[in-house]
Amino acid sequence: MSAQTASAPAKGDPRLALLAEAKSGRGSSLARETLRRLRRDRAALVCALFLGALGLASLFAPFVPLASPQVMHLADAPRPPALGSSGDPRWAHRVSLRFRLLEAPRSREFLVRTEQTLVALVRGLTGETARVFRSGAREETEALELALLYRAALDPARGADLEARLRSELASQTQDGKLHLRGGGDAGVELASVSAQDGYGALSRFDRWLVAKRHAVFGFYQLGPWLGSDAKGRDLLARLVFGSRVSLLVALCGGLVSVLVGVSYGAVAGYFGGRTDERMMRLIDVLYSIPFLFVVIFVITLLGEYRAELAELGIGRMTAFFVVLGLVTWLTMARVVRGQVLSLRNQEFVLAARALGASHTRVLLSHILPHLSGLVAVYLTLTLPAVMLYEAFLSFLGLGVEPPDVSWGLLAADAMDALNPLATAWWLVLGPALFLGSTLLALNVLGDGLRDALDPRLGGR
Amino acid sequence: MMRFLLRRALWFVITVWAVVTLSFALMRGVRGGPFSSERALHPAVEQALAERYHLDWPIWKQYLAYVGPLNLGAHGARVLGGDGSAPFGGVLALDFGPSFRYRDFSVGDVLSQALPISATLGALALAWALVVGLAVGIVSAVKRGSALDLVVRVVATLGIALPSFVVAGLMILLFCFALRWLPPAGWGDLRHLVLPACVLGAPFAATIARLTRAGMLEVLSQDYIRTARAKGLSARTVLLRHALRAGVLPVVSYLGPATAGILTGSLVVEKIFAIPGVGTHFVNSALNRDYTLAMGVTLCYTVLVYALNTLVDVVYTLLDPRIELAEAT
Amino acid sequence: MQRLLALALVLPVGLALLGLARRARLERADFVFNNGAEVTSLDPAAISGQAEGRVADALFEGLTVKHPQTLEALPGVAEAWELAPDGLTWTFHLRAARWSNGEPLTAEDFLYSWRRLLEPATAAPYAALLHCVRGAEAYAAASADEREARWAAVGLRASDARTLVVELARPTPYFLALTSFHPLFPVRRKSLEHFQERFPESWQSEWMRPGNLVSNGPYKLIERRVNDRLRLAKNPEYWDAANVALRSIDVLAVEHIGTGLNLYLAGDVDWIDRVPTALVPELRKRADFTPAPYLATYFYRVNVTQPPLDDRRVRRALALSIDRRALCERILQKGELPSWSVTPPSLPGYARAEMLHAGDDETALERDRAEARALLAEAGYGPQHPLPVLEILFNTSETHRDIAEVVAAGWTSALGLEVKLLNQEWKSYLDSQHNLRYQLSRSSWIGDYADANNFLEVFVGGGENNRTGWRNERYDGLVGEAARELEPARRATLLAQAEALLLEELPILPIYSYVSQNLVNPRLDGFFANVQDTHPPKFWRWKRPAPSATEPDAPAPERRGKKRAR
Repeated sequence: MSAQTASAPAKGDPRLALLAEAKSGRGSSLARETLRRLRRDRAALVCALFLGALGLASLFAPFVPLASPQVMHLADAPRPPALGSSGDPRWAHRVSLRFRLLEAPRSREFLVRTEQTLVALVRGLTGETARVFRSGAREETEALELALLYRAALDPARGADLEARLRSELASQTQDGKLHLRGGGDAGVELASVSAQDGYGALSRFDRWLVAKRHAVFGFYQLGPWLGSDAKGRDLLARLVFGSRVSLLVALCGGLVSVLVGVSYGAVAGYFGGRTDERMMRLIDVLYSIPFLFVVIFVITLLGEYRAELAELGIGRMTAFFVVLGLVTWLTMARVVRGQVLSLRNQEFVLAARALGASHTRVLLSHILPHLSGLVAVYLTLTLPAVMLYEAFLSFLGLGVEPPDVSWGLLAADAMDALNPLATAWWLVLGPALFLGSTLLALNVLGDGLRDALDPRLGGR
Repeated sequence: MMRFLLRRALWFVITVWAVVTLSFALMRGVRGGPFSSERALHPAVEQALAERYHLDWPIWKQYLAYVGPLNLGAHGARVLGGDGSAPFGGVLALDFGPSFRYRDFSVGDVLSQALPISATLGALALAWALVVGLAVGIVSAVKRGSALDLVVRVVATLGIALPSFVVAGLMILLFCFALRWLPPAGWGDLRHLVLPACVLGAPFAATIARLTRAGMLEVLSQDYIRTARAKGLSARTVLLRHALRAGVLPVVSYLGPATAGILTGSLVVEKIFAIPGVGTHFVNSALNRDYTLAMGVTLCYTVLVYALNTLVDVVYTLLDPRIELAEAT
Repeated sequence: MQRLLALALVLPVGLALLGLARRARLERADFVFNNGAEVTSLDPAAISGQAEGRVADALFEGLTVKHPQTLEALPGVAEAWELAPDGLTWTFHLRAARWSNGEPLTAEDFLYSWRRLLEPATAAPYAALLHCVRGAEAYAAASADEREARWAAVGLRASDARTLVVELARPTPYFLALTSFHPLFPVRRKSLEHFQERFPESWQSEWMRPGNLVSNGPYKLIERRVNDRLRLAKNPEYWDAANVALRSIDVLAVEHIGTGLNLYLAGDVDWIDRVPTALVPELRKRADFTPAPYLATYFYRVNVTQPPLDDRRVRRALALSIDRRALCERILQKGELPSWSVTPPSLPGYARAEMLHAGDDETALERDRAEARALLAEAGYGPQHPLPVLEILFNTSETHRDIAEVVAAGWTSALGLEVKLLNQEWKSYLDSQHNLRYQLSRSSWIGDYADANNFLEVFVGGGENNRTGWRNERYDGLVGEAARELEPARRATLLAQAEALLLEELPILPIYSYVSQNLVNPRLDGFFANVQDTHPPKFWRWKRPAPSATEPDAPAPERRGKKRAR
C-alpha cells in the first residue's frame, strides 16, 4: 500500500495527504467492517471454524492418534466401520519383539512371570516399558510378542542394532538355554525376530517431532477404525486425514495462484482496455486452447526424468502438481475479473477518481479491487473445489499422487471401484464424500459470507 | 461490429498458429513414441513405420509438412521432388493426417465420428445445466437467506463437491441396478444419453446457480435497480428486464470456456459410460503419443474456445450497454 | 434478452436432437463381447495385440484354425496337409475357398500375403515369425533392388492354385500352430493395390473401411465406429458358413473395466475378458467366472547395468524376499500361481527350470528371507552400510500399484530397504524401460504359441525386448543352439538349461503366472478356457434350451431367426 502512495502524481500535492488519509481510514474500516459482518454471519463462522479445525488436523496429522495410513492388513480387508478405539495390536506403530517359548508354559502365573522378566530386560536396554501381546490361548501359547513404541528417533536400521543388543543381553542372562525368571524358576526363551514398523514412511523433521509428541501423549492409544478400512486393510480415517494434507495444499496453492495472477492480470487487462487488453486476452486464449493434459504429462515425464536432481532441491511430484494446477486455475479468474472491470471502469466513481487525479495503480487498488472482492471470493470458492476435483481427475487417470502418499482424489477414485453392483463397500464412498463434501460446502458458505461481508453496498440492507 | 469481427479473425489465425506450434513442441517433447509397445518392434520394423509416417524427417520438416499446405512426401508436388499425385497436405489443406493409434482411420475420420457424439451429449448437459442453474440461482438470490436458499446452496455445493466419477457410480447403482430403468453404459439411443448428460451437467448447473446468485445479488443492490423499483415497476419486470440482464454477466463469461469444456472435457463421463466422444481422444491421444490425433483434437478445441469466447464478448456488449465492442476486443 | 436466452436454450437442444436423428440405430447383435480397447488396425499383418487378434480371427482365416479347447490345428483354408519325412517341407492342400466378395481364394493369395509380411515396408511386427522359412530372413534383410531376385530363393511356392508348398530352414515344431496365427492370414491383393493406387497417401484408412474390406473369415465387417464397436455379420461366402451359428457379433471397445462389468451384469454384453481385481473374491462365487492358467508371466525386470543391482546376490536377495503367496492369494486372488520361473507352467514337452528357493510351504518365505539377509550381508550391505533407495517402476494401473506396494513392503520389512514406487503412464514407462532408465520395472510376457523359446529368446543379449542390459554369452549360446537343434527332447533340455541360467543370474525377478479372467454368459457354447486364452469366433454358438453336449467340431445346426431373449 505504501508503494502506491509513493507513485502518486505530484509531490507535496495537498490532495495526496488527503487521499492517503482517506485511504488509510477507509482501508482499515473496510477490513474491520468486513470482520464485523462476517462475525454476524453464524453459518460462515461455523464454516470458518470447521475449516480451521480441518487445517489444524491436517497440519498436525502425525500428532493425532490415528492408525497407519500405509500399513496394509490384507487378511480381513475391507473392514466396515466400527466404533471404539482398538487395543488391536495390528494398528500400532511399533517395534515388535517376538519371543518363542521353547516349552509350553506350565501355568498362567509362570507365563506372566516370563513376560515380566522379558519386559524388565527390554526396559533395561531401551528405558521403555514394552507392551505384551500374546497370540493364541493363554495356556498353550508358544510365542510372546512384546511391542515398543516406535519412537521417531528409532529408524529401521537401528532396529537391527536393537536386535543384536537384545540377543547379547538375552544370552548373558541365559544359562543352559534357560532364562532365569524373576521370582525364581527359569524358562527356555528364544528371540524369534525384531521388526520395526513405523507406519508413516518418510517424514519431515517437523512431522517426526509430532510423532514423538504423539507417542509421549497417547502412548499406544489409537483411534479405532471409525470409517472402516479400504480394500487393502488400511484405516480410512487415517488415510483421509493424511490425504487432506495433499488435497488442501493443492487447493490452497491453486487458489493462491489464481487470485494473485488471475486477478491482477484480469484487472490490468480490463482496466486499460484497448490494445493491452486485446493482447492479454489473446494470450489467455492461446493458453486456454492448449490441452491441459498434455502439459500435465509433459511436466510429469520431465519431472520423472530429472527426479534425482529435483529431489535434491526438494521438488517432488507434489510440487509439480501445485505448479501445474496453478497454471490452469488463473485463466478463468482472469477472464471473469477482466469482464467485471470492463463494466466497472466506466462507472461514475471510477471516472470521478480519475478526474481527481488518482493514478492508475491507485484507482485499480483502492477503487476497483474492493468492488471485485465479492466476485473474487465467489470465484475462489469455485476454484478451490475445481482444483481439488482436478486432482481427483488426475488420480482417476492414474496420474495423481504416488503411493504411499494419499490424497482425497485418490480415495475418491478408490471409492469409484467400490461402487459396483456386486459388493458395495459403501464406507469407501462415504468417507471421501463426507470429507470432500463438507470441506467444499464450508468453503462455499464462507465464500458467500465473505462476499456479503465484503460488499460495500450491502451494508445497510 | 464488422471491424471487431475482422480483428478477431486476424487474432484467430495467430492464436491457432501459436497453439499448433506450442502443442507440436509439447507433444514431441514428451518421451515415448507412438509405436512403442510391451512387445518392442524389431528395429527394421520400427524404421519402416517411421518412414511411412515421416517420423524419420528432421523435426522442422515434420512441422512444415504438418502445417501444410504442401505435401512434402513422396507423393507431393513435382517441384518438391514428389510424383505429384497428391500435391497438398497438412492442416492448411484441411488434412490432419492419419491417426497413429487408429491406423485404419485418418484424424478427420476419427473427429467426424466423435464430434457429433460429444456435441449431442454436451448440448443436452449444457441445456439442463443452464435451465436449472439460472432458475435456481435467481430464486436463491431473490429469496436470499431463506430456507430455500440454504437448501439450494447445499445441493449446489454437493453438485460441485463430488467428483463426477463418484456421482456417476452412485447413479449407475441406483438407476441401472436398483431400479433397472436405464442401461449402465453404451451409445445407441436416447436412454443411453440420460445418465451421462445428468452427470456431465451437474457441476455446471451448480456453478451456474452460484454465479447467477452472486451476480444477481450484486445487481440487486445497484442504484438503477432501486430507481426502477422506485419508479413503481413491478418486481417481476425489475427482475427480468433490468436485473437479470446485468446479473447473468458472470454466467455469460463463464459459459464460453464451460461450453468448450463440456463439449470436449467430458473424459470421465465418456469413460464410465463408454461413450465414443472426443473427450476420450483428448486424453488417449496424449497418452498414446498419437501426435496427429492429439494435434487434431487440440485444433478443434482451439477453434471452439475461440469462437465461443468471441461469442461471449458479443453477447456481453448486448447485455451490458456500458461496454462497447471496440473495447471488448 | 428473453429471445436471446430462448435461443441459447433452443439451439443446444435442437443440436442434440439433430445429432440423435443422424445416428443410425443398431439392434443388439446376436452376441456382444467387450474387446477392452479399440483395435489398432484390422490388417492381419500390421497388428500384434490380443484384442486385434480376436477381430482378425473373426474376419480372416489362415490355412488352419485352432481347436477352441485343445488348440490343435483343424482344417481352415487348407483341407489337408502333410510334412515330408525330412521335417522341413510342408505341403498344404487348399479347399475351394472364396473371399467375401465371392472370388476364389488361391495359393497365390497366400504367397502374396506372406511376401507382404516379409517386406520391410509392411512394418509387420511379426515378420520374424516367417524367418523359419528357407531364405526368408535373407529376403527381408536384402535391399529393395535385390529383393526381387532373392524371392526365387525363398522356400515358398504354389505348385498349383490349390497347393502351397513351404520349405523350412530348420525344423520348427510350432509351424503348424503359426498357420492359424493372424500374421499368416491372407489379404486380397487386388483390394490393397487398388486402394494404394487410388489413395496414395490415405490407402490405409480406405481399404479397411466397412464395404471396402474383403476378407475370408467366418464373419465380415458391417460397421465400425471408433472407440465404440465393430459390427460383424456372418460371411455367407465362408466355406463352413453352414456351421457358423451367430448371425452377428458386436465387438465393443469399452476401456474402463468397471464399465465392462456393469454392462455384463446388466446383460448388455455376453463376454468380458477383464474384471476389477477388488471384486475377484465376489466373482469367484459365480459359475460364469472361470479363470484358467494361460501362457503369460508377470515379473520384474532389473536394470543390471547399475549398482547395487549389478550384483547377482542383491538381485537374488530381492527375488527371494517377495511374498508371492500373499500376492497371489490376497491381491490377485484369481488363482494365479506363484512363479519361480520365466516360462509358464504346463508347456508341452518342456520341464521348466525354477530358481532355487526354500520350498512352497508356509514357513519357506521366512527361510528364503533369512537367506536373502545373508546374501545382502555377503554383498557388503547391512545396517551400517544400507542399500541405496530402490525404485520400482510400473505403468499406471491399480493392480500393478498394489503388487508393487506389497513387494516394496516385503523388502522393507524383511531386508530393511527403503523402496520407492514410480508410476509412469504407459508410453513413458516403455521409454524408461527401453532406455534402461529404471532400477526395477514391472513387466510381463505373453506367449504367442506354446513354446519355451517364445519366452527365453526375449532375454538374449541385445534383443529389443531384453531391456535389462543383461548379456550372457553362455545363455545366448544355449538359446541359439536350441534353435538349431533338430531333436525335440534335446532342444527342450537346452532351453531348460538356458532358463536355469537365467534364474541363477536373475536379470528378472519372476513373480507369478497369469490366469485368464473371462466372465462369459454360461449359455455360450464353443467357448473354452485354454492355455492361450484364445477363443476362435467360428465355434461360438448359443446353447439350445435343452442342454446337449455338442462337440465343437461336430456343430449343431444353425439357429435361424431366433433372437436371444434378454
